[in-house]
Amino acid sequence: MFQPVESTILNIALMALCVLVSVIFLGILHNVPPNLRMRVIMVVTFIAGLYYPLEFFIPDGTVLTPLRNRYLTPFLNPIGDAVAVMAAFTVGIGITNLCIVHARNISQRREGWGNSVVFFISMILMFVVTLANHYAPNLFCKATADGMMTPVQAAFSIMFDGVYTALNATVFSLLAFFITSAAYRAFRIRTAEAALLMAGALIVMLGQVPVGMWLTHWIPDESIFRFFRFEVLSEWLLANINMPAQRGILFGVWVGALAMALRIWLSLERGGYFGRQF
Amino acid sequence: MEHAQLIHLLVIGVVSALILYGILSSLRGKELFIRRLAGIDAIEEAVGRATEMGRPILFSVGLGGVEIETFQALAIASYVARLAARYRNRVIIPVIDTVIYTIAEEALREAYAEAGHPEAFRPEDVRFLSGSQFAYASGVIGIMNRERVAANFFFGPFAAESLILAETGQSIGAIQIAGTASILQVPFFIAACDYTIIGEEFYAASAYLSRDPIHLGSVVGQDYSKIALAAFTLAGMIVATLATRWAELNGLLKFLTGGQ
Repeated sequence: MFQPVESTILNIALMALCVLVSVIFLGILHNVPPNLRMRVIMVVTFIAGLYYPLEFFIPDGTVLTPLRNRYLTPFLNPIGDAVAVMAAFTVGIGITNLCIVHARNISQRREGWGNSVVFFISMILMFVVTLANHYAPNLFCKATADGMMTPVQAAFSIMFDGVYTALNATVFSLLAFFITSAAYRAFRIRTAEAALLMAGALIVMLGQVPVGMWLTHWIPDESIFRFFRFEVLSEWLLANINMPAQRGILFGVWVGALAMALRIWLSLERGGYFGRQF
Repeated sequence: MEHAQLIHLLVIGVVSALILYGILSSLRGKELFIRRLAGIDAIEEAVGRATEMGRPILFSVGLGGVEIETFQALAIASYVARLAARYRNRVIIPVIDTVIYTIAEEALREAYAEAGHPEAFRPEDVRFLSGSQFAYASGVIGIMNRERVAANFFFGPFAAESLILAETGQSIGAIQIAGTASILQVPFFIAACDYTIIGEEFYAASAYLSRDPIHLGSVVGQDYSKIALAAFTLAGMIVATLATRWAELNGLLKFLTGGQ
């Protein structure tokens, strides 16, 4: 929809104009009476929120779109980009917060302040190596053969694949131990409900593994007792007990989310950051 | 990009109209009732216990970015912070999203100010940890252990890290309350937390806490919508069953009417 602007000067001028307009708008907003400010925010929220429903609901080939041209659809990506740009401004704030918290840990020698030192070293190192890998991969020397990495590329690979990805996988793998301890607590049979839960879980688990299928394989396929084969019973439990329950909960969740969205869109939401206390 | 069919417009239109009707009737003074929610009742107990122990509270909004579920979680966080501020206790809010970081900081600051203790607010208690799921999870469990938190609140969208957080909280003996619309994480929270708020209860929490007529009306409007949707589903089931069994039903009808 919008073609990229190639001129650097024009780009900088446009960015400066955007910042200037935003600063003026925020300045005016801060200096008007609270009631008027509230009304402006309400109107802006309503108009901004109106775009997506209109884009989704306006039908083709009616008086609203006589040429079968969805005139709102081409704006989807530019609006998404604008939202992403606005969100990007907050990344700096997040990183500043991170640095302040860790700098304070170090300056006050709080418990675990060594971790904060490691944080600063890792952050700076990753920042430098990532930039170097992107803009100057041949900084110290060029790759001598096909498939060989330069020192900068090797450093990036070690830090990203060797450290970051491995650490992510390590934390994820903790889940296996936590599932075991949580399952032990959940399946302790203390009440009738816990016993039912345990029985259901056992059937579903046995229905998923070969040994479970083997245990009931002697029940003939044509028999009326076929239902009691673990794999069939497990499938039945998942499709007829588990799934309807999940869908029932999801119904409530979706209706609740729609109600919350309506309250925000129409500026009816109250509490916390919405302007009035609980 | 997908666009709406008539049925979408019809369903969303009817549900929205019923919710707005609930809100309007509540604003006109109609008495509305919400059943007790044990998990929400326990919030005050958890905050009180943390204060008695002289330890902070941790409130995680999970992997929430700018979405409805996170806004709901922040509304609850705001209430928890106001309670904690009354006792001059600390609430630590670790976040994964920088936009939510700015909103959470403002909500916490306002909560302490409204409780009459703006000096008790510590900006570093709202922490942006990382944009990565498991880095965030390890950051949160680090905070739990270092700060020795006495109460954990997990409200918002969660994924695989839910059990890592809840089991760590369980191991340090913290009282834990969770609420999420992420249906796959609910069993993990039930197994590891003291109280869990499921599904629509998560969205009813702010009405239960605030007793605000708009919130109460909205929850009652949701109930009207669910009744309408259930009736619609039932009608669909009957029509679908009749359609597949039409030949038999026709035969039965003929038999009953003497073969006419």
